[in-house]
Amino acid sequence: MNVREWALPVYTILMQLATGILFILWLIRSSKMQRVSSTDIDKLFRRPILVVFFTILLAIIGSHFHLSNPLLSFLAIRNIKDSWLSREIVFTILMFFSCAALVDQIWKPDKKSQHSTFILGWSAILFGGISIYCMSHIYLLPTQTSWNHWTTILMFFSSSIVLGTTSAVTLLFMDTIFIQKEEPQLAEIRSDILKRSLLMLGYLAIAGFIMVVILNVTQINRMQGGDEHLNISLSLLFDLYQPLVIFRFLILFAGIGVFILTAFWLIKKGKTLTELVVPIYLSCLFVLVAEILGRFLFYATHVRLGI
Amino acid sequence: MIIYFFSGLAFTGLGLAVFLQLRRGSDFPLYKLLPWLAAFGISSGAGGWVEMFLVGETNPDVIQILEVFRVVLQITSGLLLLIFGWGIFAKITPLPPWSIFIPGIFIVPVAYVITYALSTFITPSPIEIPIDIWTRYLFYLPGSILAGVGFLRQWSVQRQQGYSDVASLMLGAGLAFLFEAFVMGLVVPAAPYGPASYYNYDRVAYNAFASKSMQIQPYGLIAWLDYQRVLEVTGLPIQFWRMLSAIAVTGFVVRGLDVFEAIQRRLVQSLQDERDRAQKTAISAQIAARHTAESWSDALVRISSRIAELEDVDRILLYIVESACPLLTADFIGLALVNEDTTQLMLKYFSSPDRSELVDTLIPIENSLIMGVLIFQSSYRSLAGEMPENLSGIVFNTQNQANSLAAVPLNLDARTVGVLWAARFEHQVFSDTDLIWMECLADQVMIAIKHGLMTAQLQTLSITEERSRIAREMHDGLAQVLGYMNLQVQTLEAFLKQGKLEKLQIKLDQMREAVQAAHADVRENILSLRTTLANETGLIPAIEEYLEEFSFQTKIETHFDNQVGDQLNLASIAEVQLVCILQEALANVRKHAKALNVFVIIKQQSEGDNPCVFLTIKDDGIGFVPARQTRSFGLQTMSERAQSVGGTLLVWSDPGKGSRVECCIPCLHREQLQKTISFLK
Repeated sequence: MNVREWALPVYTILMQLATGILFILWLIRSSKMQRVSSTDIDKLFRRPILVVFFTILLAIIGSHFHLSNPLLSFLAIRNIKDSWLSREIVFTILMFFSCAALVDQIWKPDKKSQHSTFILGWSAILFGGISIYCMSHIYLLPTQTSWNHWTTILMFFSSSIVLGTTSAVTLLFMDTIFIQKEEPQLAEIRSDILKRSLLMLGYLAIAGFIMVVILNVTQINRMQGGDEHLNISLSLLFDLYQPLVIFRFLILFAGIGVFILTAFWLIKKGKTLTELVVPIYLSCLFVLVAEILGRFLFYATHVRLGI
Repeated sequence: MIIYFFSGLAFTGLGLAVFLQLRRGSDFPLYKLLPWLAAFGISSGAGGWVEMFLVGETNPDVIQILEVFRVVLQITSGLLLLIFGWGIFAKITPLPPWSIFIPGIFIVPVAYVITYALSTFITPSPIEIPIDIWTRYLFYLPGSILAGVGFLRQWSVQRQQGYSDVASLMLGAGLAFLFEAFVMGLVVPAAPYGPASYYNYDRVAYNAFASKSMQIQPYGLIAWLDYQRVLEVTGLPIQFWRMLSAIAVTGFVVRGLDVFEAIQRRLVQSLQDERDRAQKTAISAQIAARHTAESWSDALVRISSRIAELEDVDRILLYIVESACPLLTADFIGLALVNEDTTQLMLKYFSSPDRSELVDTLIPIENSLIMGVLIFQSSYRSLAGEMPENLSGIVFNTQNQANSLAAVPLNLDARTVGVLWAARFEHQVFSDTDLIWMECLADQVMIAIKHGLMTAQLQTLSITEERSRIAREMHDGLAQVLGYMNLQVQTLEAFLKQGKLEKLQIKLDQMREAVQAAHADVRENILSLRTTLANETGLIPAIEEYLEEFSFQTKIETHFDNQVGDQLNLASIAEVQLVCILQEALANVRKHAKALNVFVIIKQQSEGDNPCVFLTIKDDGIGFVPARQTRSFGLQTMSERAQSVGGTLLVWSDPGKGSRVECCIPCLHREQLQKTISFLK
């Protein structure tokens, strides 16, 4: 893969990451909103939302190393009826702008309409989800037998869940530690929200991990029983790329494991956030590397039919 | 080979130098990171020497083993450098709070780089190539940059603290590590993947924004990033530049180890400065304490002196409160005594910086704190934060409000008769030492009061004694003569009726003698009274005057031998008694001795440890037998007078040989006073 090819994992992973983080944050926001004031909950998400915004921005910039002149992106709307790529571009841009509006809503203190913030957040998540769906549909091509399966769609969404869970928690960790130094009076509230959410997020991370494993096993089974091209892809996976496949699953397991351990240490053992900052960073890094590596393998092992 | 040798030598030297520094110990935070730096130096040095052996080795098996060593050492040293770099960057000087986000910002790019690095391991090139490349990109490059930036941060910190010597050492080390970041971390061997090789060999970059390929300039920064380009451009292999960077890092870091010496010097200097400051403070405190003690001692001595000189009690007490005001740096000093029926505490004397006064009107003291001191007989001082209402009614003749109080009871024979207190308007509390000094003043107050009472009693006693003496003298002298004259007048009347003129004449002569004797007694008494009660000119002049008058009245020649000058060092009461003894002795001489000359000698000499004043009255009269005269001639009175002031009196006489009275009175009071003054000073 050259630079242009690496632009694909950059874009797809970053978009899935951004959507996943936003989804997790809004899940926490929706479930915890009744227990803390709207001001506190919005302050909790200010910096993470900003990170989501810049992640989408980076994804868009990265995508243009693969596509073409970014100034001509708007032309994609002309083919929205026929092209999954055009739909992906349109919904990505929609997500970008809705996220920008969300940032504006949360960072400007005079705008305190909780309802519009709630709607904007879920809109951005919806656009992101549609974008991921469109993104996955691009690969459902008859000429790309290894990709042309419903597992591809679910793989993209499972990646989003796994990435979003670990990264969102890492962001909340960072923000809460920062708050402990800058606004100590709010730190306890945020720490409480984080602790209450971790149990649910731990289950979600495990579910995402199981989903990734099941989908990959399904895909391998499909390849084994498939045609010649699928067998070639399978042989690539277990021959040339075998070390990376093994490493990918090991590191994903390690990342989710460290995440669960971190949650356990925080909730049950009463360790402080500062003490757990290294494990949470490691879990996030491990999951990121595992998913980027998975995406690399996704692209590296496909075999095109025909010319 | 030589290049590798020197490169290994430089790094090994670095490791050893740092290791030696480790053994010396230090409190500087950088010290905790030295083990990592020492390990990095030694592993890098070993790696350099392994490469040196690889160059000359031809045996494939040995080459393979050496290659494994090289790879392991390279990874190890890279990791050690990364740990050291992170430590010096983040742990010596705390990072700002927002730095918590730095790993979050870098986590995604780092994840991509790691994934990319992992993907390069499946290319056909030998595995040591990607290991070499990614060790440099992932360990050496960030490690060196972090170390360089960390040293530069220290340069900034030390410079801001004004330690230019330490700062310059940090600057050199920081720049050396940044140079190493370039040659060790960025320049990598050729490989069929990027980033350096991608740009250098494909020579093509794709500009997504311009939607076109572009040619890289041959000698741009990216062109430097592999071994071949470095050789082409500089004419020297990268190994040479790495050796240079190793020497630079070693040189600057070893030189930079002087920072520990500088820190130590700074520490020693600061300790010395602190010690000097502490000494100066202690000396100043001692001087101040001595000065305070001297001031207080002087004041107490002056007060004692006034008490000893029998000054008026009111004046003494006023002087005490007046002295206390500056000594305690107080804004108000008050002295209150309980009234006669002990029902109320009345202000008697007060002093402020501008006036001191004996209070004529009745001003009752009702402040609860002062009353507490009176009732509980214990001293009190207010602490910081004393409620203002508790301190009301303790200062007078001012509009200011007291904010600090110290009060001590005045105890007389286990009974509290008053309170002495000090007040300040500022929020500056009195110390325990102030309270102790105030208690000394309170003692002086009570001594003065006691002394005043005692003097009054003595004066009353003296007056009584003097009246008794005059009565006795009148009874023995004038009354006897008048009685005698009454009888004689009756006899004269009878002689006159009988016409016995000769006998009448004889009786008249006898009466004249009696009248003359009575007249002499009266004159002597007048002289005595005048001398003892009105001698304001001093004892010696009074004695001289008295002897002169005595001689004139009695026609007895007086001889005065003064061997002490004007300074007798006797208490006032002792001086009075001494004069009385002299008068009594001279009266006896006039009445009984029939002497022509009387000799008075006064001298001072020591009797044991105590100096005494000796008074000798000697005459050339008829003398007497002392054993028969023990209760006459006023000898008993004289002896009691001497004993009342701690002295003795002896009388020697033989019939026909005159008599001698010797009186010894100790110079007790003033001598003791002198000793006290000397001791206090």
